[in-house]
Amino acid sequence: MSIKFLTAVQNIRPETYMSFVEEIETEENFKKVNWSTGIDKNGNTITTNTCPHSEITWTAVKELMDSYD
Amino acid sequence: MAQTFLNLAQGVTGTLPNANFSGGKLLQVQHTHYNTSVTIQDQGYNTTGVTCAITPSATNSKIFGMFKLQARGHTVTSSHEWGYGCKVDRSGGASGTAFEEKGGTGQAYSTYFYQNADTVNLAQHSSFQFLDTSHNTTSAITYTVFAKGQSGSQAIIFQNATFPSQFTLMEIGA
Repeated sequence: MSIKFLTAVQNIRPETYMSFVEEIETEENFKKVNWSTGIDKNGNTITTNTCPHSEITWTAVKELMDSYD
Repeated sequence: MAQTFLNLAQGVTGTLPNANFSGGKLLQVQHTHYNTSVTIQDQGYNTTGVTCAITPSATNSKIFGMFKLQARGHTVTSSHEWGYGCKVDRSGGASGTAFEEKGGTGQAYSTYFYQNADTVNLAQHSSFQFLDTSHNTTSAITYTVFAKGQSGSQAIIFQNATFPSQFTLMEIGA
């Protein structure tokens, strides 16, 4: 399921930086994705759980994920 | 220098004091086994979830670390290229980076794959080692493995399908 999620995000917005634990199957999981907003001086990613890309919404992602079945 | 051999099977009872031994003794071993998947699609470092903690018994001991990262490479575009770099950061009694495998672009990563064909998916594991000689503490230290992708258009799924990554720390006496 994480591959469906990755593919859906890639199709909406290529090269979107993020990380997440386990699978993204629900809106609740979607809200736990760590979206990258930059890199600090140590090379570590700065993250937020609020998606900074307006085109990436759970509704849009879920619709695409469902279309891959 | 002449050596004198002590027959421990005869004439020795009780506990020998530490002063009779030189450095280099293995003082303790800590080991973790982690199988929760963590997906990273990023060119900045993110945690892999793989950690191991140890409380050194002396400030001048050495911490020898070994870790194996299990990962699935998932190419979500047609670039057919995949790889990652990693580092180990300390927290708790010590801070800073204990190990870093530098990676620039393309094949600058030791864990790397390229295929000029259709989409590529692969699963593999890579092993790394480091020696921390600068912790200078007897407080608990947590070592955490971070990783970053070779490009922004491919993902690394660590511990995919519950295949584990493992982390071992050994404290070596000075």
